[in-house]
Amino acid sequence: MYIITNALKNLGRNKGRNFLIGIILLVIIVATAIAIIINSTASSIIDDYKGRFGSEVSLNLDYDKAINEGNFVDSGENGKGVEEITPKQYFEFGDSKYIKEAQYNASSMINFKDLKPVDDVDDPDLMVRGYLIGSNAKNISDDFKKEARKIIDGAMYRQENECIVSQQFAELNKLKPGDEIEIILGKDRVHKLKISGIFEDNTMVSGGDAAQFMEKNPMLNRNNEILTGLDTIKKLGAENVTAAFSLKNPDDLKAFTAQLQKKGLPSYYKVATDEAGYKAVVGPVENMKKVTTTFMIVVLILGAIILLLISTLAIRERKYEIGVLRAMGMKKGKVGIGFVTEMIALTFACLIIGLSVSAFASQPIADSLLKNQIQIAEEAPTGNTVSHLDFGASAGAPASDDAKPLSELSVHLDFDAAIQIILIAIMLAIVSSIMGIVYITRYEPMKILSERN
Amino acid sequence: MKKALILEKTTYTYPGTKKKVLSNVNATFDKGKMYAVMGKSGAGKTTLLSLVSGLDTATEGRVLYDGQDLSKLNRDHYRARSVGVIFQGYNLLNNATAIDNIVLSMNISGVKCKKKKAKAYELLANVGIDKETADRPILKLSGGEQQRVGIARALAHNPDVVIADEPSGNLDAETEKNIMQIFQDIAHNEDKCVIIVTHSKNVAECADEVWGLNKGNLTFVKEKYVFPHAHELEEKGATSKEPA
Ligand SMILES: Nc1ncnc2c1ncn2[C@@H]1O[C@H](COP(=O)(O)OP(=O)(O)O)[C@@H](O)[C@H]1O
Ligand SMILES: [Mg+2]
Repeated sequence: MYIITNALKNLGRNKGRNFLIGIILLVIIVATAIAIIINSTASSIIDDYKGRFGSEVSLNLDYDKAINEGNFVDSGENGKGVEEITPKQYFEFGDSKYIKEAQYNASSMINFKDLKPVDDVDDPDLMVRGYLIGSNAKNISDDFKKEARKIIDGAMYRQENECIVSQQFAELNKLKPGDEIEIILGKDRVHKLKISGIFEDNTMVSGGDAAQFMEKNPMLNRNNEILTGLDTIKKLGAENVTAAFSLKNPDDLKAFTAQLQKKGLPSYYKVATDEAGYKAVVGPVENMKKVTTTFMIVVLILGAIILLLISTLAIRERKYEIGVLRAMGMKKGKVGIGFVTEMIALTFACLIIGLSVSAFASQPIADSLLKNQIQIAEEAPTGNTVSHLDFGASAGAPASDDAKPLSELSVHLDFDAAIQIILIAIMLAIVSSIMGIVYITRYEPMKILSERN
Repeated sequence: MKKALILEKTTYTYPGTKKKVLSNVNATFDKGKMYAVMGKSGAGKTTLLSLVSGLDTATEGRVLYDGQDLSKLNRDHYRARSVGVIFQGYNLLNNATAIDNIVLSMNISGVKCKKKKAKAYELLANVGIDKETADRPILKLSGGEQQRVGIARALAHNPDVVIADEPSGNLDAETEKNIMQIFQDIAHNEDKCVIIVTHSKNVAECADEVWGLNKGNLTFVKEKYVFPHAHELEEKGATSKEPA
């Protein structure tokens, strides 16, 4: 106990030396704390995105591979055409133990019985005038989330054979929720759907100008889309499917690929996670992390060297102190504990000040670092953006389409980061007392007597 | 008379040197007596004290405390409990106050006493250090004051053996007399063994036995040194004059 008291008193006794060490400790602690706070926030974001991007699988046609294997994209005279993935296959692919979620967007072209589509043309040969779209995918409801589409009457489809129709389509045909409509699939398959709701469509607004110059075509007007659930369209038969699979575990990609190929996926389809999208979003954060980590390591090394230097310069004082204490009969271990306590107390004081300083400073520093990295990323040539070759049906993780780099990082001090900072601080305390400890173990108290004479 | 320390054929050579600073020293120091050791500068007086105070061990031969070989004892414990040393260079913690130095020493020695601080002030008062002076850091004390703090510290844990390396070097005649009285008192009334290295005739006069150290040899000079017997001293190698 008296060792602790003496160590604390010693702090005040050697103000000059301890002030100097304190300032250096403070600088190191602030620098590393900011780096660690930023890093740990960045890490959790990176992990989060890795999980998301790493799990979203896309199936893309590898054009070169297809040709090398003797397939032609245009089925020519003496080559076989590229096999497309059928809707049925997509649904089979999604039925896998590796899959956490399979999002489908299925569509079929339809005609209407006794109903008029928006932008109709007078052409008796025209067999299709709209789309039936069935989906369990997020990006369908994204239209709703972004309020580009909005239910204005009734409700979203819930049960099988329910659908929602656009406001324009409903007004044109004097329809209201609860009414039934008849659609024609293929040549003459008539099917009844019940309207559960009516949506307002604003997705067409932006394209309005261009639409003026185009020929009127009900197929091009999104107001003629009849939206229904996936089960409904699955039963009626989907002509066109896009799918987005997400894996339970990103590490299962290989096993999943093998499974797909067993189920008949041609080898020239590439099963991939969205690396480019991940890079585009997380790249700047990752680079920022590299910068702060490097910075932290440099500060730690330099700081440790400076601390060692100071304690080397102050070793005369320390040696004398060791000699006096040892001559009085204090055991080596206790002298050591005293020195370490002294430095830990000093470090702890610096830790408290340092943590409060870095809590305030790390957000603006993170902001400016990230801004820098985004700038660098924007200036760099964008050679790594993927271009999906879509042939008929395709599946792709939608993320890379609107992959904007993370531009905001809300940093905070979490438990792990705090532990890391404290561990580093303890390490610093040990580094600052190491010279003294070395002398304690190597130094016999007798030396003081002879040196003093 | 109980034997406190026995030197048996004690020889000491500093590591890395060849010269025997002490060679084949045989001596016995009893409890209840005050000894004066005299000798020229460089004769090995401080070296001798470092051996009997357990700061170092003999190269050859043995130093026994209470019949036990010091080289085999826990010397940290021996220094902390059994011996009090007044160093030639004081060896106090310079940035700590006088009172802190004493209390720390008491703590290291495991002194069981509730009011250590009060006792420390008392010890300092005994050697003529008042409270105001006691609360000052060592560096802000005069040489004489530092020496007296050193003396108080050596006595603070009530050790069996008190060793002093020229304790009166910086003391005025009056203080010196007081201090010698204290040493005599603890030797004679508290049954301690007091060994003092000195050049001072006055100090030597207070001792019960005087020993001379010359060229590594420790020899008994006289029971109760009485001035002037300089010729006698010269013969045995002990001198009252320290050459500059
Ligand atoms: N650490 C040391 N290493 C080598 N020689 C030493 C050391 N300390 C003292 N000596 C030598 O030992 C001899 C005795 O020294 P010391 O005991 O200090 O003498 P005294 O105290 O009688 O003046 C001297 O010759 C001195 O030079
Ligand atoms: Mg000496």
